[in-house]
Amino acid sequence: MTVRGDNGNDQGEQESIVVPGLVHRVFPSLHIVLCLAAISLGAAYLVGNFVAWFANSFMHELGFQLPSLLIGWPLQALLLVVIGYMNLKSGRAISRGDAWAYSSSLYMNAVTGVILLTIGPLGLLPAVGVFALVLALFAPSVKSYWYREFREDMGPRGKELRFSFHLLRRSPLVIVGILIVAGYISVAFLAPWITPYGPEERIWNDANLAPGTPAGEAKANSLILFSNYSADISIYPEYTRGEVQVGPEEVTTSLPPIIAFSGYVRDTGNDNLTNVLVHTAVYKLNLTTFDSLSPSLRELYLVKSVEKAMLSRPNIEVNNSPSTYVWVVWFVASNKTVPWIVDTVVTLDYNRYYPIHYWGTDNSGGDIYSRIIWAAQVDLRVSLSVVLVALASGALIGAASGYFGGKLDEMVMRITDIFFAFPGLILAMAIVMALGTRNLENISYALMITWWPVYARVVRGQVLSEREKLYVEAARSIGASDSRILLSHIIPNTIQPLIVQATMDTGGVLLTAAGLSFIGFGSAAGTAEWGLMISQGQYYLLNYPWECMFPGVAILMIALALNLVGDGIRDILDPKLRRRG
Amino acid sequence: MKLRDFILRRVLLAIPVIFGVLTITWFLSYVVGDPLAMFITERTNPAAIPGIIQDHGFNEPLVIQYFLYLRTLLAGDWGVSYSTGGDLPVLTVIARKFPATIELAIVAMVFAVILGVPLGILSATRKDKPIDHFTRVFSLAGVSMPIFWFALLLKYVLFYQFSVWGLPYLPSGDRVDNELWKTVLHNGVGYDFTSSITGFVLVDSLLYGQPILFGDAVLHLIMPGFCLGYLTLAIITRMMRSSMLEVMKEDYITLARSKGLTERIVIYRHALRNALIPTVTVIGLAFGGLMSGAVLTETIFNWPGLGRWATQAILVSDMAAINGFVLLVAFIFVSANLIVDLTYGALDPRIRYG
Repeated sequence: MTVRGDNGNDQGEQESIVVPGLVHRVFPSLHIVLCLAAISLGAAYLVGNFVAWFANSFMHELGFQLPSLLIGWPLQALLLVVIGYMNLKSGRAISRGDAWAYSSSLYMNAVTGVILLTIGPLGLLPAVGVFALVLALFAPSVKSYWYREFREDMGPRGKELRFSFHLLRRSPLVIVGILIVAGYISVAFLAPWITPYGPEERIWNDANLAPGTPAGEAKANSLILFSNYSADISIYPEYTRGEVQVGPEEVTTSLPPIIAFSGYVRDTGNDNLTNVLVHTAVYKLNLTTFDSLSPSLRELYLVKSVEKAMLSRPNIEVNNSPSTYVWVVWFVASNKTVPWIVDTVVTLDYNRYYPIHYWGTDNSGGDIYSRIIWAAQVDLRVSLSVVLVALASGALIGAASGYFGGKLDEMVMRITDIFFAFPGLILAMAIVMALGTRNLENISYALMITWWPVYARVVRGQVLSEREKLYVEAARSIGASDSRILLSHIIPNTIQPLIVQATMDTGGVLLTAAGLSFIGFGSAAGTAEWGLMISQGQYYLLNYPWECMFPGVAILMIALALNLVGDGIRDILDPKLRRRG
Repeated sequence: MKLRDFILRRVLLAIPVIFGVLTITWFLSYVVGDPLAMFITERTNPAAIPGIIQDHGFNEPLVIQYFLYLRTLLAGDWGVSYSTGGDLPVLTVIARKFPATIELAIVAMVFAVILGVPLGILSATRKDKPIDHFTRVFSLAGVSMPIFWFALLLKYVLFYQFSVWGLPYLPSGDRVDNELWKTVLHNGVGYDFTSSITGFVLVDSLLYGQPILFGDAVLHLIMPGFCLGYLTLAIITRMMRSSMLEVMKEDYITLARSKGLTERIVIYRHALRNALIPTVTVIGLAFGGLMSGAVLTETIFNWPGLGRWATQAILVSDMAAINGFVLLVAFIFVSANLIVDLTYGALDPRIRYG
């Protein structure tokens, strides 16, 4: 084990004179600015939460409302502040020329970036900055400054890592697991492009269709040609017309494009008798020819016309080949005395096709295949964020408890005992209820609160054994502070069991979240989420079994894959099984 | 007496845990529900409400209310569960529903141990043979199975599809076939707390001397029992396999073999006993897991036990019921841990308490 000493200072300053790159001078200040941004974002979230709680509890009468953007994610906010503060210290160390601080900055910025990604839109911008900073660490002028020492430090570790990869390649089940997990993640990201329907899109006429049935309604890309809402039209007769060119890219499917009209007219409330006809028509002409022809000549090029009173929604099919059309909407009134309201929309629906419901539809006409794929986003996000936050906070608490021992340790251990004495599901249910509304966000909070003691225990056990080792003594003897010993020396050595635990727990959290959602603690009915889909499908189990079978298979597969990976990694990291030869 | 001291110390250590559980649930329930709702119905005279508030101390500060709650709890009054028909005291409801859950949990545990231990041994002694691969996949599936979905799957195949195919099928829910009980016992209510003797269906049917009813109860227990036990079964199998593999590498096993003992005696007399220790820990800890699982299983199989009751209670914010349930589970969990620690001594004479 190499000890990172503070004697890196002198060396660093010498080298900084040798390589005075621009990036290197800009880097520390950028680093500190981003740290401050992360801290203030975290603090803002914490304050937002507190204010929201305060307002909800004590200020009912005032009708005080906080913008919802800043409410939520209290645990991530706390972590952001803590890690941001530690990162700030390493930023200052960098500006003082401490070469070793760069590698801590690498770890901490990576963690900060991931946390920022989990806290919604506000975290996105700083996350980009933080990841850019991580990349900047590898820019030539910065890299030359710290990378050599880092490599020397990581040399033996790197060798072990390579051996681990070698072992990994030899276990096919782990590879299969990793491939499945990677598949799920990429499918979740690609959802908009690989699903014909949105997560909450329904075709009510297609309810309870068996797997493999074609849809009853065509899907199409839609181009809005014209839309108008007017509340004060009293001039008549008047017509609106426009030209539409159907190009070759718009007739790629076997179904012809349609020009869809929605013409609606009603009075403003005074006159019960709106004697208005909505006249819609499509001509196979271009606009200039259309305008130059007389009405009777135009009729020779008429594709179709539809005339109806008050509300007309015709879909007029045109030829399935590229050409130019003119559409017309015309309100014809015989005796009209007051203003009326018209609402007109004209769209071109092209590339129409009938999607196949590969995995059937549910009882309200949602396509199960699309919903399962969209749900992957939701479920993976919940389980990953729960595990990440529980891991980080549990590890910090457990490390502190193991390192400082004494009263603190005793207290933390009693608290974890209490958490272990609860059945996890019941505690999570109670917390969700205490948080007020049943939704996935609250499920994640509840599971974070339920899950951290696991990691606190694991890390504490590791820290207890690491604490007595020689390298800690050495680090202490050169005057490293407690937080530095703990964060940059001890915690990296406890990371292996944590990784195994976290991998397996991701599956466990997923199952628990789905279970909670199944008994009705999850998101609102209709959301695409696996547990909820099973829950809704169970009432149709006997006649339409696919409605709950497919989501269940989706959960089973990802949980199985995560367990395979966790198992494999544990075997690979286990020193007893690791012996060569 | 060393053992007595050990037990005493463990019990003393359990007190803060139970106390903490109590505190957390009480505060959670205070946040969730209106404690007053328990005492007020639509028939309550509005003029009486201030009196009720006064009587139960709802106008006192939070801390005082907490101590008042502790006092009533210690006096044996766990409150009234208004989500059960007829607003029964929590302790009564627990007494009525607890046997159902415990019976299910025991059956699940029996499934898990009876299948899990031999499977683990088989898998370890025939490492990398087909049976080993099968066992590993089987147990891995158990750990990754969404229990509620597995229950639905079992129901679909064993109840519905079997009945469609004309095979003998398993009942889809409930503890017993009430019609059968009515006709056999001529009591008009079927099986509920008035007609039960011990609360355990299996025991009661034997006490009534009715093997048909016993068979019926067994049929009703198979699906929920297996479903609930599958996770524990998987964990026990994995634990058993790995600890057995570990033990088989030890020197004393080599010695036993070199003495010329048969493989059977080596495995079952020398290896198994040592390999059981971690498995016993798992079995003890699994009780908490069974309670969690019971919530889902009981909901799906319409099992009138504590888990379903707790779910209903949480959904309608019946706080007295939730507090009672959580407290009970914490008790079970802590005592299961104690029993596990004591079992170590029986299995491994080297362990000394102190």
